Amino acid sequence: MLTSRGWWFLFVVSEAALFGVLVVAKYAPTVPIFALTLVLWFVAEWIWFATRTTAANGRIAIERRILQGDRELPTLWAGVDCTIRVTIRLTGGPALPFVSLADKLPVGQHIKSGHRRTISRLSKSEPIVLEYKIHPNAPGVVRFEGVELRTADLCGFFYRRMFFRSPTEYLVLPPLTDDDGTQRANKRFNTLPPPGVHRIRRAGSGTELLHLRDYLVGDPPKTIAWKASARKDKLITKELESDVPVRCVLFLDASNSTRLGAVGATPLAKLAGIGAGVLQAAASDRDLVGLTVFDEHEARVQKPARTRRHTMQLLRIFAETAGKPAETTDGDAATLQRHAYSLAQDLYPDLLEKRVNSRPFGLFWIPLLDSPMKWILVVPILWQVLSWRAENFNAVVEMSRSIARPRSLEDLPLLLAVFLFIMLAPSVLTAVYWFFFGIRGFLPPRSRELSKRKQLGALFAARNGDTPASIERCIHDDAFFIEKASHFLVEHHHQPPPKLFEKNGDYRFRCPEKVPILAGALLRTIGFARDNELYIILADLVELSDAVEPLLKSIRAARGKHHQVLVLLPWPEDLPPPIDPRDPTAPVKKTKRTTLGGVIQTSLVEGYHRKFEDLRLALVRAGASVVRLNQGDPVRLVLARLDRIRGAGIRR
Amino acid sequence: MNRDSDAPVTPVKPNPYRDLITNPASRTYLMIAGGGLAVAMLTMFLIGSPIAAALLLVVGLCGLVLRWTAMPVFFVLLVSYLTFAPLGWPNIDDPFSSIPGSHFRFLDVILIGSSMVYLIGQYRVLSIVHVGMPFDAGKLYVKPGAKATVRPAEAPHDRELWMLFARVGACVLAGQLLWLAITYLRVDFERVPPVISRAPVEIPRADPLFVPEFLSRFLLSVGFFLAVALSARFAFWYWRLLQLRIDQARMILIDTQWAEDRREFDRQEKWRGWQKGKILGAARKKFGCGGWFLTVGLPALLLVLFLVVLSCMGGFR
Repeated sequence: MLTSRGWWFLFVVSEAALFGVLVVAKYAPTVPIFALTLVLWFVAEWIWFATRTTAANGRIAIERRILQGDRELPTLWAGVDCTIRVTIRLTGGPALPFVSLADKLPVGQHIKSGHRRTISRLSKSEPIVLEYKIHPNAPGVVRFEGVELRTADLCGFFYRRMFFRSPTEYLVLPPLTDDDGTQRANKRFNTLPPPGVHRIRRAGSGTELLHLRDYLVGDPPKTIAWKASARKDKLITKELESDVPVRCVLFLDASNSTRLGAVGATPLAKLAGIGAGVLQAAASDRDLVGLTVFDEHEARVQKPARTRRHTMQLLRIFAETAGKPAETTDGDAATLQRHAYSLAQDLYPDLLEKRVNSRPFGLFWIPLLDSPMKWILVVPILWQVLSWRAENFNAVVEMSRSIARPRSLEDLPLLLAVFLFIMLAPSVLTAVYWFFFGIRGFLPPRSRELSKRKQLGALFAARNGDTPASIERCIHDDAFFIEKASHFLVEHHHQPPPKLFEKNGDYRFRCPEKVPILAGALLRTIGFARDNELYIILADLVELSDAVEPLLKSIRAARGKHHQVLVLLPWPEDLPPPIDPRDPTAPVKKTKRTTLGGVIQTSLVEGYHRKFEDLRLALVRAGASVVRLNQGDPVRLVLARLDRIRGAGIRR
Repeated sequence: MNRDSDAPVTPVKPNPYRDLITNPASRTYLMIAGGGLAVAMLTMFLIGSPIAAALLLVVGLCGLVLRWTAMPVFFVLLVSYLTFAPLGWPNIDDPFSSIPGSHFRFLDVILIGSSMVYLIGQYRVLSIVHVGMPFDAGKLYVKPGAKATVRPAEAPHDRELWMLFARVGACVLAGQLLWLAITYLRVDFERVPPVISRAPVEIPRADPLFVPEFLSRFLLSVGFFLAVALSARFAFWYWRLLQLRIDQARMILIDTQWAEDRREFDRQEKWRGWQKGKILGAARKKFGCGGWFLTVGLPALLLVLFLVVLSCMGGFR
């Protein structure tokens, strides 16, 4: 690609050479020699630049390593810094004297220190190392796309941008926490209490003493504490701790409504983080933990277990689930096209070039006869055919005579002109109209948008292994294009801003289908339950306050079997919490509504609060405990609630 | 993340005049360009044009010190013009030079070589202290205040400098040889190949296929560059074909098949769209009243009017 500097130089030396060779040579041969030498130099620079870049194209090797301390890791941990080290080598061919290399940063990540970009010389003996630190905040998946290489010749005449794709995805596991739910600093993940030591303070058939109480009729004699009875002079029964661990099942909502938002800041990422904290705390108490991930389509179940391998597997599931972006398959085709094309230009510049992704001339021509109404324009063309028939021809001649009224030979040209006009005008006018109708396709913005759509269609077809017919379908069928473009964007962790509300004001991401799926999963879990279990539902249900009846039935069934149910509801960060009228320190509700935006916002906030309150009441009436996740340390809050539900009182 | 926020592209507060000297890369090329400029000035002085020498100094200093980016181009124009008109105005009545013996003249070789050295040095200085690479996006999309990419402040490799002088020497030699060739040869369309040497054949001027000398030079030089460009393009095309990756090859195959069957696919998709619309009961895209009138109504109206007039005039008897 020629830069503007190159264009100017080429233009001036070409003009000088042209002028010198044609005109000035006989006066001053130095001029054409000078100009021709400069043109030769320019051509030589072009050939040399093209040789360097073409040779380098297949000879660049990229090696990426993720380090924590000095150790290479296969996965990342949320909340822990990690170093990305990218080594770029030229394995052969001539050196590139001036390159700018940049590692493409994963979506949603920011550099904490170091540089992901450098400008240097790249040769076989001088590999370039890019090193920088990132700090993943939330569990999920980070995707490194590859390295961008920009190069120019030393004079700045030529420039080329290439992208070396080496897509690699790494899981970001939730942060490690201890048995109190606090994030671990330097302790290793091996602080499980020894067997027999348990913190569940519930009467059972274990070996550790829980407490002493008065004898009740029916207590087995072997439970009588004889020494205590002798001291008190009445029968005392000893109660032992239960050595049966609590089985805890987490239900994680992975529906579209929880996947909205920036990468790492979605409600799902938060729920996964909290779930992982609860999981690790429960696992450190040697409780069995299970996980059910559900969305609007299905529920995937992991049975409760307490091995370390099981815990790690659940952490991986949390990370994978948290990394899922929302599927916006009902978006706007133009918006998706804009985002997808921008991304494709960034990552696939070689697959958008004309030599591999053509845009033929005929693609832009607008066909006239696609519309049934426009077939009427065939009639004037037929006129041309019909008019050559004898009777029509005679009529045209007669008409021409009546219009021109020739009296002498001098009027013959006029007669001829009228005759030709009547004969040819309809067809010519139609042809002109046809031409201008069709040529409009070459004008922007239609040509530009069509060109982009075709390029993207071909790119999607090549990546997905589709047939060439899908390219044309992408051009014509918006729904098909939206599906493909959404898939493309989701795969690269890009999400265009979704439309949250329908035209009638309905929320588009309610996902009511998930409620029966959750209810069914809960009932199935109850069916397999062995003892009193604890079910923690991490779900976004506020918008579904009027559609949770199946879930309420399941919760009642669980409570009927003496299981405990805890519902954790994510709360939007930009939404104020509902004001508790019993709290004297609560801020006074502002009733000032000055602007239309303020009125709408207040109405939306109040509506959300009302829905939350309705849902909370319904769940509490069904027997579940409800926690809103927007204040304090949610994991500790949940664990405290867990302990209370277990009956252990204060956590040790 | 802003592309330039974490990139060591330029110093925090660049001082262009200080950087020219302190930056080892720009200092080296500054000296090379200055040397080339001095020799070019001296040569122009020897040719007999002290004005040219002074003007070249002004243009060169503006380019090197003030970093005016248009100066190299002005330099080319100035050298060309002042070689043609050393005193400032051309004397076109009396050709004072002989074309056949004009190759490999000592002063020409020195002037062209030194000018090339200056131009290369000047452009490399601009790449180091001004702009080395253009922005990816068009000017409209570049953020105000965005820093341009320039070469790092490192001393250039020895090989780079040797290659510079070798390149200048090769280009000067090639330029002289090219000039020798296009002045020695002549185009004659009556022969195959249509090129003859100048000396042995005299072509009559009355011949309709006679090619004047200036046109012959032009055709030969254009033919030469065309041949070089086409050969290079063919070579690179084949090289890139050899280097095709799997995804590029797949894309070419899909694209070619699409280009061959595009009309059929287009027809199928239009039928599919029509059927889809029919099934969903969705109304087809409506034109506005004006659009409908312009595209359908007006032509139909004109046609009806025409037929009415035709029938009134007795056209359908």
